[in-house]
Amino acid sequence: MYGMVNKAIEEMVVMHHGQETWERIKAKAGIDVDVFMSNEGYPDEVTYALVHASSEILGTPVDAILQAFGEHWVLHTAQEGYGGLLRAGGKSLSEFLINLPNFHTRVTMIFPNLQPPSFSCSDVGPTSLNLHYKTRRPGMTAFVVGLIHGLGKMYATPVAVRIETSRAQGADHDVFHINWSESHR
Amino acid sequence: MTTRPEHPLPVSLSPEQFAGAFPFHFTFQRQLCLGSYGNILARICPDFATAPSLLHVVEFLRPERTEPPDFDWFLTNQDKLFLLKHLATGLIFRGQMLPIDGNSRVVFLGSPWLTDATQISTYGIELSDYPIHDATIDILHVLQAQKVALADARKLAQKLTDQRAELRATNERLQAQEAEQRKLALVAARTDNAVVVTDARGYVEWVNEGFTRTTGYTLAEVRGQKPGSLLQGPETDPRTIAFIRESLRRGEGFSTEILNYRRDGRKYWLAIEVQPIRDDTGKITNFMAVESDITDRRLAFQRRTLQYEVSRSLAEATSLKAGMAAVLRSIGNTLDLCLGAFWRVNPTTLHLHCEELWHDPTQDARPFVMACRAHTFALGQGFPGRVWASQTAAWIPDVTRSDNFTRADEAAATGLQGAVAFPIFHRGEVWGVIELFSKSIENPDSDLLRLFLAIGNQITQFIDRIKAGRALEVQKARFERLFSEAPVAIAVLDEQDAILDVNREFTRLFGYPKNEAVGRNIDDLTLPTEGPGLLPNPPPIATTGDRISFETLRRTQDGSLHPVQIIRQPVRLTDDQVGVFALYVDLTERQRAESALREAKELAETANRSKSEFLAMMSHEIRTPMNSIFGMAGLLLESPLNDRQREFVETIRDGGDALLEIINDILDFSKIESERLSLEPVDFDLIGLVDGVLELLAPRAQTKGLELTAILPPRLPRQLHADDGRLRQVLVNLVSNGIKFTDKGEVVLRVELVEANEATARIRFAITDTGIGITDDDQKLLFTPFTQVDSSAARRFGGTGLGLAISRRIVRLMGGDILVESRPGHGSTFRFDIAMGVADPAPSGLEFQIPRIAALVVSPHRATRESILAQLESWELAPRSAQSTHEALELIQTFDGPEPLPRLFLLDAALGLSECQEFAAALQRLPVAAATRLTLLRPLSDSSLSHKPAPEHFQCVLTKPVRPSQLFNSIMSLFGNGSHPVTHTALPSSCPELSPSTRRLRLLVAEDHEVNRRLALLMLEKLGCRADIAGNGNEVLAALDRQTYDIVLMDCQMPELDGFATTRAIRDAERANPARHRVHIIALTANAMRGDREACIACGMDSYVTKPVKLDALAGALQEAGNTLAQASLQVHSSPAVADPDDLAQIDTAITCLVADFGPEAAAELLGDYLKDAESRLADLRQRLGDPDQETFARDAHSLAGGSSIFGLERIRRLGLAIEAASRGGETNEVQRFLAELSDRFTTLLPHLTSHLQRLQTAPSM
Repeated sequence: MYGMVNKAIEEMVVMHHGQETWERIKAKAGIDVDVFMSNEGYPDEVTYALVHASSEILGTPVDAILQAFGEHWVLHTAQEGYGGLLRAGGKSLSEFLINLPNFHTRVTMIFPNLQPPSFSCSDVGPTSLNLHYKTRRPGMTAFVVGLIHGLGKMYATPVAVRIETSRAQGADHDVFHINWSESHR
Repeated sequence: MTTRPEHPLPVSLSPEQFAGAFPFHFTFQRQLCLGSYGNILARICPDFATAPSLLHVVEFLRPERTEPPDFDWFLTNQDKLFLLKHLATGLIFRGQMLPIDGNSRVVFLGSPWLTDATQISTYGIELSDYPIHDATIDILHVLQAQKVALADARKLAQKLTDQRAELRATNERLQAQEAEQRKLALVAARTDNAVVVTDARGYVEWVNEGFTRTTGYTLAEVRGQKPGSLLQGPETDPRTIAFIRESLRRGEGFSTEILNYRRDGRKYWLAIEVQPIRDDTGKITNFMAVESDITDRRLAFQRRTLQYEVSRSLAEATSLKAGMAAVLRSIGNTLDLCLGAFWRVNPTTLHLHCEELWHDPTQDARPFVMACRAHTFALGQGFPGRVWASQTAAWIPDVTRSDNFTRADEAAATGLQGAVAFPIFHRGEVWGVIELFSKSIENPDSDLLRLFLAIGNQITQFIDRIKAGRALEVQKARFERLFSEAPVAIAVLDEQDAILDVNREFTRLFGYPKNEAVGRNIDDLTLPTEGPGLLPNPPPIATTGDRISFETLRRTQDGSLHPVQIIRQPVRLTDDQVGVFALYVDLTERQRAESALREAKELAETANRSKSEFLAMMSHEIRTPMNSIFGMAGLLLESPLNDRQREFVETIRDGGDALLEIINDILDFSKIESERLSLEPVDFDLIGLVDGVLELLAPRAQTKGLELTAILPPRLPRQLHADDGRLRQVLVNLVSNGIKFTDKGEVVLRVELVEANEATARIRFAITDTGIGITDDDQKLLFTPFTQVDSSAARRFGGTGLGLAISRRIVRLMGGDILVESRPGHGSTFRFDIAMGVADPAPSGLEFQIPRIAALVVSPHRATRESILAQLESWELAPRSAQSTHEALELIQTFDGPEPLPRLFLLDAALGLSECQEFAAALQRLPVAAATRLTLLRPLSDSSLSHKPAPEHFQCVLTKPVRPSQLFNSIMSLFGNGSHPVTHTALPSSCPELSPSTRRLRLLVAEDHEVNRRLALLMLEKLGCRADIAGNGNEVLAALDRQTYDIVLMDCQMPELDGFATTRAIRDAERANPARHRVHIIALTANAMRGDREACIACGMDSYVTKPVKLDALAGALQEAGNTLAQASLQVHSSPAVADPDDLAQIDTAITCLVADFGPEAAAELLGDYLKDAESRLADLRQRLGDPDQETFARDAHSLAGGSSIFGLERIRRLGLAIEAASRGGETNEVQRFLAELSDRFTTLLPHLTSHLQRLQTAPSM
């Protein structure tokens, strides 16, 4: 997994619970990494372990933590990691979502060793679309939901996400039906 | 471009496709004029549409070129990467120049070059503006990734730096620890203690130098050995050895004490502490033992134990014998000795005798014991005798081998060897010797000898203690005797006042034997159960508290009360108990004596008081009839009389006046004599006071043809604080004396301000007359009471001779003294200074701005001139004066000063009226006449001017002595702006009429001021009223008790009881006795001050007339009172006889009280009786209406009234009393009306009363 994801987890824990809690989570997860390199690939297990340890130590369900991480990712980590590129990704939420496949294509280009997920859009309407999320990593659905909510906040657009089909329930990939309020475009 | 041969087709794009693929392209031709351009370029660089030439919109950064480019330059550089800067925005474009259309045009294919994502928004570009094939955005991503990687690297580098610093710190800490450990190892090696390190099995690996020093074994000798095998010996406690083995086996640390043997065989005691040493896994690798030599410590412990044992034995011993026996036993047991003996110096034989012996009970010591008993030693003889002589301890290692030991054989028989002896001192001399023996040879031990000497000292102290204890016992017995035999009752109390002990006298005084008293609380025993001694003792006092003493009553066993003085002395009874010595001195005898003394004193005081009271009563009793005489004489004088009659009456009045004055003087003097005269300072107006004195005495002066003048300085503080009544009394006395003793000339009251500050003013009063004067000899008698300077004068002028004596006492009370200067035939001056408080100035009555005019005073009298000049000066008018009209005219005619010409002329009528008028006429002829005004000053009694308008040419008339307010008013009216009314002193007025009923009202005038009283009577006479008079409040009350008045005209300032107090007393009496007629009170008050009216109404007065009393104001007040009284009487007479709820409530309350006090039965009986009695009496009264026996009728009515009040029948009671009064007054009509009303009311209330009666009769008895 992309180091930036682990970094997002670290930032969020430290921001809300302090460095000491983060050290406990790392100890619990058995992860002895002082600095996560944003563009470095880390074993997926590292991320899963950190998420589970956080869930245990903070007493919060895994999905809730993942969703919070997703939001934090968009509103803090990615703002830093992608700088102006994130904001330039579109003038509105829908535009950003439509541009998202290209965005990930570029990440793939630059970091060929990473295996970023792929996104595509379908059924694009004026206030909704379906976002297709394909990844080889299981269990990150809630993270994506958090991402979408974070984007809604970034564009000040109230957004509703419904999981249309889910890999966890045997589908080929996750499909999110996303609704937003047009007035905020 | 290369193409595959089989598909030679060049890429063919539609214009839209081309524009989509190259949205930033533009073309230009040979003249560098711009052609087509991409749609996005058009948006972000709009000047491409209008620019005439390519060179106007872009600058070429690369390839480099010094001159402006021409078309051919582009053709030759088509293989170069171009960098262009858009001039307007600064945006950089990258791309290539491609010739087309046969080199006639060039197309630029490229896109904006960005190095940072933030530039996107800066140039208004969007990511979607770039065609997908363009790598710019991808490069931006790469750049951003690098940035992030760089930031991560920085963070990592920082982390590494931090960790290195931390590592360095850890390293330093470790090095410090290592150094510490090295130091500790060194300590272990060098310490005095023995340190042994063994392996896990207990074999020595290492010992330190301390070990070698202690044991004598070196490391080489002991390595590989077990320490116990080397060091332990026969006397080592096997239990300790077993304990050590067991602890080592378990691998536990331990500490213990053990007896070991050195290499040379000597024994020593050591304390050993052993700790196992473990490796990282917790396995024991070694044991380390730290050992210290404690041989000395153990010996010291044994000797400390000895010292302690001796101390304890001595502390517990109560006699010398027991103490010495205990000491011998303690030493013997502690030191494992065999025998001890105590030898005492016998003061008679001067030999040592053996007094105590102790021996080890397991040993047979008889031979030696008997030898000791058989021997005595003189000084220097034998072992004890030698110690006695040397006065120090001595040692014999083996008595059996000593040449110098007399009892050697017996010692050998008993098995004794070592001996030691030491002396015991008392008061610097050897008192005895202790001898101690052991069964082994003992070498001298200096420490032990020192110890024995210390024990000797302890015994010395013990002897002291025993002897002191004996002395104390003797003393105690003596004090106990003192306590028990003392002639004062003593109780020893604890903190809670419980009795701990009492003495014999206590038992005698209170009747309680000691065994009955002890344990009881002193208050329970002796505090009276009722009466004045009930106040308990003060609370227990701490030991630091002071002794207290008080006199009170205390109860004895038989219940009788004794006067006692109680002295409570807090004492510390024991170290932790505080208590009280309570001493009771029987005061019965003393009080008896004191009481006799007191009775005698009281008798004397009563006699004295009776005398004073008699004097006061007599004076008062004389005053009251005197007022009648005076009043009647006054009225008589106002009636038509012939001259002879008038002369008689005037003689009566003058005689009465003189008598009243004498009585007042006697009263004052008796007050002064009994020191009851006190000053009552109030705020007052000094000018007003002086005016009042003059006003009072002016008639008298004028009768004698004397000028009476007051001269007041300008800037005199107006409001002062002093007893104005007493000051007035002094001034009146001195001025009236002046008048009395002057036949011709003037009397001048001069006031001077001696000094003043904000708080006080010292004021001088000087009364100067032109009278007969006093000789120096007579001056000495002047102030002696009851002494008239000249007995002939006394006959001529009357008086008690008390006036001056009283005045001087008053002035002295005020802090001054009256001085007199006089020469016979040349008049006298009486002068005094007093300091008075300066009060806050009351708002001045003179609020008008006085006109700035010059005035001329013309009077033959210097004092008159001076008085008026002073007043005018105080208003800052520029006055002048002249003695005669001639002088005045001359002054005006020759007037040429800088000052304005006088406009106000004040002419004294004493100049002669005709002269005044001539002057006025002369003045009229002068040119200044129009602006001038003339005022005539005339005496009050000048009949030629009385009640008449001002004479011709005069605009105003003022009476003398001229008062400031009069003068002010006159100036305001003559020269003011017209708002001030013209004032004449005697305005003619028409007399107002009173209604006939008002004229018939009974009036009482309460007024102490002679003139005012007369004035009031005259005015009332004019109004057609009659009035009685009273001189003060007490007289008012007495008059009201005697007879009924409708209206009292009440002066507020009266001596003895003022108007306010009198009114309150009247209203109280009326409230207490509702049958009493309510009198209407009209206040007469001198100061028309704000708040006076409120004060009058508040104390119960009905209305208010200010002084000087105006006839119409008086008439108005009287008429108003008449109307009110008529209305009230109407109300009383016509009040309807219906059951008022208030009446019923009163009845209910009264009956409830009765029941509460006496129970329902008795209440019912009372009420039943009353109803029966009232009914029969009412019937009786109705029958006997018109009965000639008015006395019986009145008595019946009174009885009816009396019974009614018990049941709250207030109105019936009042009606009953009214009937009684009317009956006695013979007012038949009134009696009839009141009786009818009473019957009606009784009938109305009867059902209510009857229902109460029935309820009470059926109520259960309480």
